[in-house]
Amino acid sequence: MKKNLLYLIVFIVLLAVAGYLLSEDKGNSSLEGPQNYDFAIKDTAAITKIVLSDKTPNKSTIQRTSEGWILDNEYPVRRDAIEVLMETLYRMELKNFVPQRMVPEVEKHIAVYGKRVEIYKGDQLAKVIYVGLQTSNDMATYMKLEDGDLPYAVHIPGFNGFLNTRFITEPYLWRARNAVRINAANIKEVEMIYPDSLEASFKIRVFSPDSIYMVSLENQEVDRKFSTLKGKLYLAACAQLKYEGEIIPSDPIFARRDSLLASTPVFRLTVTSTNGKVNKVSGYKIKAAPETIDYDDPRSFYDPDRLHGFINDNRMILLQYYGLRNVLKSKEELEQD
Amino acid sequence: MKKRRDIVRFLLFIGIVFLVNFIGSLKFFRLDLTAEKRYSLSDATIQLLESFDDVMLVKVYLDGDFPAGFQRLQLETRQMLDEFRAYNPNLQYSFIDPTENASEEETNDVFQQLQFKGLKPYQLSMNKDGGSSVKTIFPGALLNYGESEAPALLLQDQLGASPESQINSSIENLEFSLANTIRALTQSDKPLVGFLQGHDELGPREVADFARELSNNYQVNLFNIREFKSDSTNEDISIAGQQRRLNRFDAMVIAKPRKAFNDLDKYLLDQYVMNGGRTIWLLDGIEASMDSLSEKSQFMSLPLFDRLQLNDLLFKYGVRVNTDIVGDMVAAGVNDQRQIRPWIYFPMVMPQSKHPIAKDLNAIWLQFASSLDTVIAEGVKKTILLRSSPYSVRRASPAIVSLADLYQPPPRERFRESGIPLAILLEGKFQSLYQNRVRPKEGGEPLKLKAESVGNQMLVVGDGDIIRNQMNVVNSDMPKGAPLPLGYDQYTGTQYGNKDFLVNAIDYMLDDSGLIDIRSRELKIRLLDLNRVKKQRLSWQLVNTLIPSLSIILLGILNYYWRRRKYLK
Repeated sequence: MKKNLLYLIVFIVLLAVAGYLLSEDKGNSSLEGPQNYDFAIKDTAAITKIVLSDKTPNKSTIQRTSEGWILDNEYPVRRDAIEVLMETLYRMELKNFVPQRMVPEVEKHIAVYGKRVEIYKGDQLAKVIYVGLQTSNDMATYMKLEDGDLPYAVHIPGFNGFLNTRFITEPYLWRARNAVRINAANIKEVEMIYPDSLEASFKIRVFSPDSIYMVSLENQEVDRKFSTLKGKLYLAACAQLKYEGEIIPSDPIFARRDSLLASTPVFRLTVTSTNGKVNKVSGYKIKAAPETIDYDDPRSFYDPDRLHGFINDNRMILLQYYGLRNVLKSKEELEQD
Repeated sequence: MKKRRDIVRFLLFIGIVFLVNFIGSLKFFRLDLTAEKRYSLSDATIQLLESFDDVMLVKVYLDGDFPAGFQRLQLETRQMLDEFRAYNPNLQYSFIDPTENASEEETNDVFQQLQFKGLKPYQLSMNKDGGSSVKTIFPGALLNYGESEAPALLLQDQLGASPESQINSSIENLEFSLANTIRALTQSDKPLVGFLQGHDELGPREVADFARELSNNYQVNLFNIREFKSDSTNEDISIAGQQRRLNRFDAMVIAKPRKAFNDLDKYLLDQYVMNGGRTIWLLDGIEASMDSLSEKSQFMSLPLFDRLQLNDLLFKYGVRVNTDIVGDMVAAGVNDQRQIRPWIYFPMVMPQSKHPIAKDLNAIWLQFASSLDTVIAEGVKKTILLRSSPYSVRRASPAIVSLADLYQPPPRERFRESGIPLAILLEGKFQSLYQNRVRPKEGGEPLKLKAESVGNQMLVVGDGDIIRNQMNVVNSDMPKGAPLPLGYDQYTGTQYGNKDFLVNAIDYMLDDSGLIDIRSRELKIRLLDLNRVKKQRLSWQLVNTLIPSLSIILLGILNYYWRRRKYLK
């Protein structure tokens, strides 16, 4: 019996030692463990909300909904931006430890210039990451977990560059660049006014998919030569109208906002949906830079590529003629050939 | 009751055996009982490991599914890093599989980045499920310390060597590869290496890759011995001032000079050597170039070394560069746009020396090399680092180099010489050339002279092209004229070991830590004596199979009688 007891004691001691070593074993790595530098989120599909803020102060709250990602409960989010952010959250990993002598400096920079990124899964706050500036060789970004002790240099393997610019805090940069974004089937009426040419202006009314009419704004008469097919294509183009970028108060050109609004636009587009929501887009010519040559109209005084514009007479945007090529149509162009 | 007790005991015993084995697999522990102390770190490495106090992260790109040889390299690397960690727990490591990515595009990005950072890809052929496949791996590691990053190549590339032998030499070299990279990252005072200018030496673009490689561990700069700086107050120029500027360099590379050294140049270099400056002389004995064959099918190679007027200086130090041309049947190839043919004037030198500079290196590519001779110089030890193959020949210059030799190489009988010295390391106390000789004067007074050097080293190679990297012409993904890796022949796609040889030479001369000595440590692979195996095979097979079983039977019988005696009473 005594012998068995001895065996048992040896067995228990060995079991304890094995348990200890097993808990210590890190396989192919000597790294202490993920608690301090596990920045990545491997199940990005479970992310429901991300709040990005900085001390500017800027704050963007993007939320996953059944209709896609929405910014601040209002605006659709740029698909490319959210895809890049998700990829970043999935792939980023530890590149290097921050040298001890640099830790105070890096932490100070994170405190001042850093971005706070809150990541939610369901209603739970899953992780908070502070994203700092880039390393001196631009190949990594300093980051720190809210409950971590130290900052670390983080990168994406195979990507040459830094990651902090992928964490956008400015709301306007998150917004999808759609001046109009509705389902074409839900359009009730489209009105296109060319203030310089009333005979080209028109209004298209949709009563049902088979009952579409165009009314001339010159004489308010229904155009009998209207091509339904061309009209449907026109409605589809109006339903997803994109712009190049938003002009924000810090842009110098923003100062021209009031004078532009007071001037005569090139066009004024109004899209009304079946639920009564009205989208207005107007465009204004831009004075061309001195060296610009418009080969189609060499005497032209204006930028051949871009227009300034407003959405609902509020948000100032930059439009491209190319993006408007299917929308800037005259009444005549929508008639049967 | 007794039966139950026995079963419990048996189960506990089995459990203990299992646990002991399990613990053995978890805990890295070894006693180094090998004669050559193959599993012990050198003092230089230990000192190096104890010298840094910040976290160093080693990312080893050797994770994944490998054949046995690479698994061994992987295991040895991990054990080496564990050994390193025993001396400095600030060293952290992580094994990474660079192919483990969501898409092929990401994998290609990772591969490109690793290559850009200095790791070399290796095409690994693998047989699996009855088929074979080729997998790209990066047998290397990236070491991160502070904000710096440096690569360590873990696989020694050797032309013609079997994969098994490459793995063996890689394992032998593991400690040096890792420790040398750690040194590059942690050392704060980097020695200064200069490239001498003033005699039409190779320009910065021609030595760009070697200089870039050196810059990991050293400061690198050009030094024009003919350009004197004038005093800022009285605008005087001073030879002594020039000597001081030259003496700032810890080593000087004299790469393929093509114009004569005058007396003052030689005096400055001589006194530089006397004051302990290391020198690497990469000298052409004859004037010959492949460019000469682009217009004509043959050219006359003319003596060059005599024109350089360095004979007396090097002769005094213990070496002579001959104005001949070495032909070798073991030769590097030349691509004539149809096929790659060996070109006897490009000796492909397989380093046989066990010296740490040359041991286990890939073949060295020389172009129109000249032979060297050692001469008596008291107190100077000469080590021949590179020799031609047993099928070589010396041709005195002027000699005709003909393109016909490419298509109809001379008969083998003409290559009768063996082991012609092509690179010699000189070590010891050198005597000044200007001892008992008229010295240059400054201000009417002869310049000061140091007649004997402190312990010094110099390397002399009978080929200046050994250090010259090619400029890109072939690869459309790179800008034309971009410097290619030293030792890489873009026309044949072959990588030679020129860079490792020269870097090792600089390391050997300038590294006081003794790290380079690790390279000379040879780990013997103790193979069975094939003759004895043949003769005694059956008897050893019988011994190995019968003795254990007979011993068990004998023990059983003894146990039976012992128990019988004990319990019958």
